[in-house]
Amino acid sequence: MKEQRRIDWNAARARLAEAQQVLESIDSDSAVRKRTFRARAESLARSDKTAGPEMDGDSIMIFRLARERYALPLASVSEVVTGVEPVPVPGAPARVAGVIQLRGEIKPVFSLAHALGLSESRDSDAATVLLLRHGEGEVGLHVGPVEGVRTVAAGARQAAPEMARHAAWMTADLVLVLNVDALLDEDG
Amino acid sequence: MANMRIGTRLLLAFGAIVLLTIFLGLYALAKDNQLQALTRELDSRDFESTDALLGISRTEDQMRAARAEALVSALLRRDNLAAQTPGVPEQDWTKYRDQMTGQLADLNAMATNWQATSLTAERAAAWRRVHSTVQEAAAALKALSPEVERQYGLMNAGNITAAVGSIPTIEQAVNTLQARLADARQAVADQTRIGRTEVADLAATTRNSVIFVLITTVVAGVLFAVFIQRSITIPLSQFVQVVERVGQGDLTQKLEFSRRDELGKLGRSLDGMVRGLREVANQTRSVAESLNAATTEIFATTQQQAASTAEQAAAVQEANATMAEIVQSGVQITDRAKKVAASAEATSTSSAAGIESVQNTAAIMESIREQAEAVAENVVALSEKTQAISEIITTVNDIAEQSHLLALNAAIQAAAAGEHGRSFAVVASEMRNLAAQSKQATVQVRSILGDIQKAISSSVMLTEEAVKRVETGRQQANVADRTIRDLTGNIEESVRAFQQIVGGSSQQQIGFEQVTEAFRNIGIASQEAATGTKQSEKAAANLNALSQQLRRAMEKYRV
Repeated sequence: MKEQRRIDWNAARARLAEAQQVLESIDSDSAVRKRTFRARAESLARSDKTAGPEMDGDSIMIFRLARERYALPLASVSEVVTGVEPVPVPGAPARVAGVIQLRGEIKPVFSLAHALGLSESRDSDAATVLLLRHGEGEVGLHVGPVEGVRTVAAGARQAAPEMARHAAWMTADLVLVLNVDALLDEDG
Repeated sequence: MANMRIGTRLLLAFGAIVLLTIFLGLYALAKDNQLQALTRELDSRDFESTDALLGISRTEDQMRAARAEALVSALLRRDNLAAQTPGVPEQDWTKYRDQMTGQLADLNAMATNWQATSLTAERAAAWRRVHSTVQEAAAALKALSPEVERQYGLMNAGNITAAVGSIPTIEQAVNTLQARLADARQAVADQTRIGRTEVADLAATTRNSVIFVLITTVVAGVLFAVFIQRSITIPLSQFVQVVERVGQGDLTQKLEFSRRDELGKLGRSLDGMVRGLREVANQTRSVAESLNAATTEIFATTQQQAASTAEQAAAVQEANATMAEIVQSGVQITDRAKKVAASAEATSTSSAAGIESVQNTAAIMESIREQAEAVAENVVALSEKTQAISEIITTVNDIAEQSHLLALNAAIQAAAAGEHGRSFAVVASEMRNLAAQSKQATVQVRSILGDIQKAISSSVMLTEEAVKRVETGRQQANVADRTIRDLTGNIEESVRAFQQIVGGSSQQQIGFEQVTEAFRNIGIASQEAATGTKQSEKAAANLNALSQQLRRAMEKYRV
């Protein structure tokens, strides 16, 4: 015989009524609102302490590529574009991922993975194109999803290892900050 | 003759006698015819000739009278005594003479005729004599005629005296005629006498012949009777002797007849009968021996039977006691069967209620199924609602991502603005934080929605399972319904069966009582049988004695 598992209909009805009440009073009930706002304030306070932007230092933009985190100087980035897939160009060099059209202008997009000598593992979900200021115009760099912007104090800069040719320096948590010119001009 | 059948013998004897009798009758008839013919001849011819002679005599008288009358008239005329007297008529006498002549000729012709056709020679001779006498009479008449004619001439001449004188001559002639006529009468009388004599002779001859044949017939009949009597009675007396000896018990008798008639057959049949009796006697003798042995056995058996009958009486008493016990247990069976029938009826009523409740259960199951299906519908609708929420969440997520991108670009712009954009960079950072929180919230909501979806799927599956189980329950209820109905039918049959058992038990009780009564009767009968067996014993002893008597009786037969 199966164990008789009887539902307590009164308790169920009470729970339903409570849920209904919560649902109805979510906009009007000040207690819920206060709790929500409180939670957000605490969150903001926590982020100020831990991950707040430094006022002095180098601002960098951190992004992912092939499960590694890389960074670029924020000054070299002019715009973050998402949701646009580079169109491959026939006959183009291998490091060119393709072109994109942005506000009526055609921009070439380079492949960071190719430049770093990584295998082409496309994260098509979060494919992001960073528009970099390069000379007179802008070129696109095909990277992974963008994590955020950080300001690194000058004293926290560490020297990049010798092997990393494209890296300008390295943060404390071992994120390579790439050199844009080295990336783009290597092969002309 | 010995081989001729008795019937044939009798037929031959009686045939001979009958033939003799027929011959006798025919002979007598022939003689009688002859006699009658003679008598007729006598009657006709003799009387006719006598009549003719009488007529002739009468004519002769008339002639005489005519002559006398003529003479008288002539005398009268001569004396003138009679003036008116006519002349003498000679014609009268002539007329009579001619008449007589004719009559004589007729008689003569008759005699001649009858002489030729006469039956006997004597009568023919007599007729010839009549014929000659009649011729003589005719001659006498012819001789008379001239004399009379002369007298008439004398009278007519008036010579009366001469006429009278001629009378004697005439008288003489007349006498002659009369004598001749007398002769004729005598001849006729002789003829008649001869006829009578002949008739008498013929009658005598006939009588003698008949007497002779009669005697012959009687003698032949006596001879036949004696012969038949000897040929039948002698063998019959032999038979009687044999049968008497057989009756005395001598079965060795034999006839050994070789005759081929009925008596021979009878003798052979008697031999066969005696042979059969001999065989029967032999068989009877052996049977009597067997019977004697059998009666001895019967005697012994009857004594055993007497002992058995006593045992039987005891057994019947035991059976009677057993029957009483059976009757008692039959009463108990009836009571219990009644109780069982009553409880089965109660069960039948309960099963009717059970059917009703099972039907209610089935109906409730059906409503449960409908409600469970409604629940499933609601839950599916809920799932669609969560899908809508999911779409909304997708939108919110998109908005959060766009906000994140916007914040990034804003940070870039703030960085590009350098020192002036520092505060803007803060705003951009806040925006990015909010976007991150929004995204995190959407992730949480999506996770919760996944849980809800899983719960909904689980609920739908559970509901489906519940509906299936309800269906199974309904089928089970139907099965239970059928089962209870079958059960009810069985119970009703059981009720009927038990009612029949009750009825049967009652009948059984009656039957047991009858059996008990029968056993009582059997007990009485056993007593009677014991008595009867003693009588049988006695009878067997008698039978034994009788069979020995039979054996002795059979020894009487010599075979």
